[in-house]
Amino acid sequence: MAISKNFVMKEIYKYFKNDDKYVLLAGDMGFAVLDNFFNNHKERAYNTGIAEQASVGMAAGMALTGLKPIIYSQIPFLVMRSFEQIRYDICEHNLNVLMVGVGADNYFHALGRSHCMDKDDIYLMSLFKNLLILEPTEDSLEQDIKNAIEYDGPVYIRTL
Amino acid sequence: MNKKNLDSNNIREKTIEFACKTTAGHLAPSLSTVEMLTVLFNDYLKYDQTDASNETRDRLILSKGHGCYAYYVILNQLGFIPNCELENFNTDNSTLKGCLVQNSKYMIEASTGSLGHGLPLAVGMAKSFKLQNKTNKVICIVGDGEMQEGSNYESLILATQFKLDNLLIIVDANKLQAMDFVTDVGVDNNHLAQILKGFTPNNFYEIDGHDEYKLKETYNSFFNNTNETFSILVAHTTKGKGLQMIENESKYHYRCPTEDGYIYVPKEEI
Repeated sequence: MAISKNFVMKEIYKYFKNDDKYVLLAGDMGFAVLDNFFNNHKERAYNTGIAEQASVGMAAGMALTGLKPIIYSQIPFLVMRSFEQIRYDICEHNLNVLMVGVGADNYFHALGRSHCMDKDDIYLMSLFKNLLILEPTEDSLEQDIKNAIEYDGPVYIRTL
Repeated sequence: MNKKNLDSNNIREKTIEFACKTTAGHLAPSLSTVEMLTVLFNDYLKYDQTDASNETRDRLILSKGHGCYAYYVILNQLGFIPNCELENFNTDNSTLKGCLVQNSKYMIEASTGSLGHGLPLAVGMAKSFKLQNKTNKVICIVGDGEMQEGSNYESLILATQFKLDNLLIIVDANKLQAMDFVTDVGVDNNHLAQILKGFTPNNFYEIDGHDEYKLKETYNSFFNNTNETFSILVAHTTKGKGLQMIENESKYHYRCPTEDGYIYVPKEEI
């Protein structure tokens, strides 16, 4: 069972705050959850708007030139809208990009099917052989994020 | 930097030779890029001929990754791509593909070929360099047909947010896409130019993309840009430029003229 984005982003922030190479690209979301990122590091925490394809491509361009991008977006819009960018821009170049998907397991069921895709994100992301998929629990969180940070290649973390 | 001795006429000749000898199809979309690339590599782009991975190099992203033959010829003449790679092209032995595949030895910065991917990459690179206080420039060449892809407009919006004065977007406006003239599918290039000008009115250029003097004027402006916004050049070009039988003919987007009886004869033998 996936856990809240709050826990995951708090754990990621421990690495983010100490390394200027990390940049955050948030897809027009993250009230409260991303306050530390935006308030303390606004020069490298961005709202990249309602532009998932370009955000993923941008993250790839950033990784190709020495940065460590973290993408934060709704699962269906990240995984499906920018699926080809994940494949061709990030995975094809085997880049160290961390993708955090929000709304796993129909967490936003009140919003309807636009924001829900059951566990189909796992099936889709499993197509990428070099992509590490993580679903932290409270017990595994610390180790999972450590693995994500140390992994040489793209990582997908699903959260509620 | 030192001036190189690339010559557009020679690059065009070698590009035609390369395609015809290997019966490779995307000759016409490559021929429209000859001058914009030659002038860029001769006088403006910063790179190290002894080290393709030198981090101080500028980045060229050829987003219309199918139109890469002139680019291959230039990288070959600069010593990045060995002769055998050009000779093996279009065979099972070639590393080079019909669309660009990233290769750090050959100074091919990114894989492109699926259209609408290069500009987001370029925007990310340009922002990355600014964040790291690096002076590298990023140049991205997109096709006019390619500008139908929505991801490009997402990128233009983000390029606006990030004030990327180190980014030049060149639209190779050769008027033709794979099947039709761009006007038959959507907006004509004058309309496209108006749309693009709206994104960056003070750093917008529209010229004959085969005119080396005008290309130099534009590149001078971009490489000395202090306007705090990105630059766009709409370069009006001719698809298939230099080989009359394929110029402005949609049939030759992906068709080697040798398939229709054209026999390549080196200029020096004429």
